[in-house]
This record gives sequence, structure tokens and C-alpha cells, in this order.
Amino acid sequence: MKILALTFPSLWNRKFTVLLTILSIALSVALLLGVEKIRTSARASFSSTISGTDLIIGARTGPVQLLLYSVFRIGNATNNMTWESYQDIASHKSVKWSVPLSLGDSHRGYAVLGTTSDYFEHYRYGRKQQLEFASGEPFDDLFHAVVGSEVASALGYQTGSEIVVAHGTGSVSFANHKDKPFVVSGVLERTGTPVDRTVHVSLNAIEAIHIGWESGAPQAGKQVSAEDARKMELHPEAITAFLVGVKNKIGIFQLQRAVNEYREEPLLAVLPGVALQELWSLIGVAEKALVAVSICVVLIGLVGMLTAILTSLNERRREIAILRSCGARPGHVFTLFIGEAVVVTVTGIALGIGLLYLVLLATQPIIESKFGLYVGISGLTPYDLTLLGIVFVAGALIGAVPAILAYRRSLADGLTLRI
Amino acid sequence: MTQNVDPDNGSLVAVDSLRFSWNADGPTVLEIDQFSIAVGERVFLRGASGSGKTTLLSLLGGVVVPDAGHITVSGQSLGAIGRGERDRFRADNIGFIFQMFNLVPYLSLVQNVALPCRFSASRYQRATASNSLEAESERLLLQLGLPQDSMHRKASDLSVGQQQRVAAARALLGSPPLIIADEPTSALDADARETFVSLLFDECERAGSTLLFVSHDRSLATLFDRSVDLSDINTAGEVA
Repeated sequence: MKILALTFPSLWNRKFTVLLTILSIALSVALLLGVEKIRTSARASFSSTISGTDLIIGARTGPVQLLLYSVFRIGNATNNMTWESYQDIASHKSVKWSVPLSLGDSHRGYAVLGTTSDYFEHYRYGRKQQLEFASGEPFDDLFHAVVGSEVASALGYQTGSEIVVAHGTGSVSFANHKDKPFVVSGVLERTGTPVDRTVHVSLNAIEAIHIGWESGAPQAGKQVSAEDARKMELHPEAITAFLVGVKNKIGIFQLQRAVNEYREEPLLAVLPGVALQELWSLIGVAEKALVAVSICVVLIGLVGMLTAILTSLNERRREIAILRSCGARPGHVFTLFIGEAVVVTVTGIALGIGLLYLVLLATQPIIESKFGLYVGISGLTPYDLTLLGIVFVAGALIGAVPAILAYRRSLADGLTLRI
Repeated sequence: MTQNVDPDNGSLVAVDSLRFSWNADGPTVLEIDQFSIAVGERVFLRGASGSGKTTLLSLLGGVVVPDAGHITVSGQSLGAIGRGERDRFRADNIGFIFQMFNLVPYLSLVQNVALPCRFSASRYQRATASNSLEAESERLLLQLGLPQDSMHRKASDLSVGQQQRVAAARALLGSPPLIIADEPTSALDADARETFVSLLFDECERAGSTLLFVSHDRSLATLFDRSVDLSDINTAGEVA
């Protein structure tokens, strides 16, 4: 309709208010999309913490707990499982590979993980990406350690640095395994997973540093030097959990049942994906609150637009009367007002999208280095577009309020204003 | 250009046994037995403020409908059609000039003049019969004495006298059969008034439009074909 040609000059006539309104909508839209991006990125990074592993097996506990301590290094295992059970299950006919994990020690607040060099081959994250070495190589000596990228950058370690492991998992510890220092043999590339915050050593190393610590504290007269430990024949007594890859996907559930019904000791086997889902549903509440807040912000932006248009309504009565005397019908007046609301909303949305990508481009490296969260700069998802569609419809609906008022007034005022 | 003329008496505007009050229980403000304007006539309608002038114009423009009686404009009985059709009819057939605040402040002169053609296809057709819409708008503005360099300036930059000329150009664009001017000169000084009226006459003649000029200023009455005092034809309140 030709009345819409008046929309732009009319808006331009009130450019200051209109610009502020557009800006507030743009900011709220950018926030909404930003929260959505961070939410999906957090979720993606969370669920890509472990991939390519078919089962996680440990002593019987809850699936979420097992996942938390074996993959996220959060909390402690209530029980360990015996080495014998591990070997027994690892030799099951459907097992293709297995990686034992032994946790419980820390290095300056970072978890120390005892494992085998298979870990670097079989552990996968994201889209089944393998761990890469930024420098150095896997451990091949008893007192070699491989550190994650965050450990290396936070503590300034590089290949060849000497480190001391502390007993227990606190960041401040009085019981240090000072008698047996480690040498960094390799530094891993950044993964955005808990691997970055882990010090990896061999299983035997975990045993070695605990020689003479059987009671939980160093015992006089039972100290063994690092050199002696190297000569001892060490084999692990127990491990915390282990990761399993199967030969055939059909074998997963068969193996899971076998483990859960294992007679020698109570064990638990969980599918990482299922446990991740369960864990996410726990922390998903915060995520929903975030979305709710950003929706409220968008609403406030739109109400701001309503206020701006309603305020202008009085001073525009004359303009409407003029248009009416030139032949504009009440429908035209309605169209003019709703057209303005639509233009303001659409401009706000477009500006908001631009703002979002600008902010993402500027802050992406900061977010990644500070929070370990990689926010991908990708196009808008169908869900984003749905959200924007809802904002658009809400804007048009809110714009209908002053449009209806203007329509009614134009009927009551007629062609002339009694001034 | 052909005009629809009331077949009964050959007039462009015919008012018959009209009665009107703003509220159902309120006093009757207008009661006119007979009033008509012939095609091409230039009528001066005088009335003191509060005499029902604006009400009569609202009725002629179809903004409101009479409680009783008939109004026929250009052959169309306004009581016979609905509000939407009356709006359309007004857009097609009547050009308005008001006392002041005639122009949309944020549009240029040319855009203001072309405004009625946004809402009326028939006026658009007539305006663009021999010229583009913009050229026709400019032609009218120049005829009414506005300087060439002001065509694309904002309406709000003009003096009141110039604004009234722009309003006249707009009312005349697309040659509507009826021009209603409601106190168009009251904001102008004496010299400007006569110039404005004679320009309006010239353009009405060129467009073939009938003119109803409403004012309280008797000094202009002699310029017109006919002068009517509203208090002579409005019998409302006389009985009571």
C-alpha cells in the first residue's frame, strides 16, 4: 500500500527516539542470540568431552558420579576396582580396546591421572578427535608426565620441567610425594575438555609414588628412592575406572549387562552419552534460567518501543487528521502505525544480529582462553530464526496497540482537530 | 472531465431537510431545509464561529451522517453508503483546505501536494493524464506562486501564507469536483488574502472544480458568485 511509503519519512522525522528504540531492541536481540550461542556452545563442548568411548566402567556407584570423576575429574571415587577384574573384563570377547584410569592424586590443584599410553591413542573428544601433542611425546619412563595445555600454560611447564605430585586432590597439600619428582615428557594441544587440566602419568608411576605410603602417610624406614622404585617390579593393585571400545556396537549392551552382573565385585558400566545427558539435565536448570532472563530483556525492549510509539501518538494527531483529510482511511492510519512498528522491530533485529557477530568476533579468543569455551561463529540455527520470528511477531503485535488507538482516534477526530 | 450532476436540479451539492445533532440527546446544531451549489459555482459561506460551519463541512465530507434528511454530492447520496465508502468517496471527490496545519511537516512540498493521489486512484488518474505526478504537483505549486527552488524543501520550513498555497495546490491536484476551503485565509494578512482567493479561483476554473469557501470575513464575499449566510439557512435553535 502506498501509505507505507510514508513510513520512512515519518520515522526519520522522529529519528532520535526511533534510533534509541531500535538500539534497545538490537541490544536485547543480541543478548538473546548471544545467550543462545553460549548455551549451545557450552552444551556442545560439554557433550563432546568424551567421544568414541563405548562404555565407562568403574566400581558400583551412580552413573553421573562415575562420569563426573572419571571424565570430568570432579569429586572422588568412593571405591576402586581391582586390577584383576579390569583384566578379566578387558579380555571379554567383544572388547576391542580398553584404557585404565587411576585417579586420586593432584598436582597444584590439577588432577593426576594414572593411565597407559593407549590413552593418547584411544581417548577421543569432540568429533572423535584424537589428543595431539603440542610438544614432546607420551610417557615412556616411570617418572614421565604428560600435561594438559591449561596445566602447562598456567604453571609455565614445558617439556623437561620437573614436577612434584601431591597426595590427595586438594590444591594445597602438606603431603607431597617430593621424594619422587616427575619430568614433563610432553604437552598436549588444547582440547577444551578436562584433559587440559590433567597431569597424565603411567599407572606404575601411581604405584611407585605410593610405595611406603600404604597407610596413607609416609612411614619411617620404608622410604624407597626413585632409582630403587625404577628397579622394582610394579604392577597396579587397583584402578578407579576404565574406558572401553567394543568391536561391534551390538556388543555394547551385552558387555554392559555382563559388567553390571559381574560376580567378583560390584561394578557399573555406563554409556557416556546417556550419562552426559543425565548430567546435563541436572545443570540444564541454570541454562533455562539464562534463556528466561534474556527473553524478559527482549520483552522490555519491545515494551520500550510501545512506550515510544504511544508517546508520539498525541503529537501525531494533527498529522493523522491531515492524512485523513487527504483521503486516508482509518485502515491506512492503522497500516502506517503497524508499518512503523514492523520497520523498527526488523531494523532492531537486523542490527542485533550484526551486533552479535561483531561481539563474537571480538570476544571469541577471550572467551576461549578465559573460560575454555569455544564459541563457534556459525550462521543462525533454525532455532535462532524461530526465536527471531517470535520477536518479530511480538513486535508487530505490540505495534498493533498504538495502531488500534490511532485508528480509533482518527475516527473520533474526523478531519479537523478542535485545537 | 465529466461530472456527475444531481439529475433533479443540476447541482453538485444538494442538501435536503437536513437535521443533525452530535449526541442523540443533545441539541440540534444544524437544521437546513434546502441548500444547493451548482456545478462550477463559487460559493461564499459566511458564519460566525459556533454557527455550525465545521459541522456542515463534516456532513458534506461524509465524516458524519445526518440524523434526518439527505445530502447529495456529485450525484452520490452520502446517506446511502457505508463509512468506508464515504471515506473513499471523499478521497475521490473532495479537496480540503483548512485554516492551518494543513501540511505533513516531514514531507517536501511536492510530496505533500501528491498526498491525495496515494489514497485515490481516480484523482491519481486525472492528475497524471497529461503529466507525471511530480510534474503536475510542481506545475500547481508554481501556478500558486511558490518559488521553483522550494519544491523539495520540507513543508515545515515555509511561512504560513506559503503553506496555505501548498494546501490549495494539494486540494486541486487531480481536479476533484468539489473544493471545500474552511477559513483558509484567516491566518493571512489582508493583501495576501485577496491574492490567495484569486489564485484559488483561477485554479478552480482550470480544474473545473466547484468551490465552497467558508469564512467569517465578510470583506471577501463580494469576490464570489454567491454569498450565503449560514444563519439564514440554518433554522436550528430558532424554534426553541
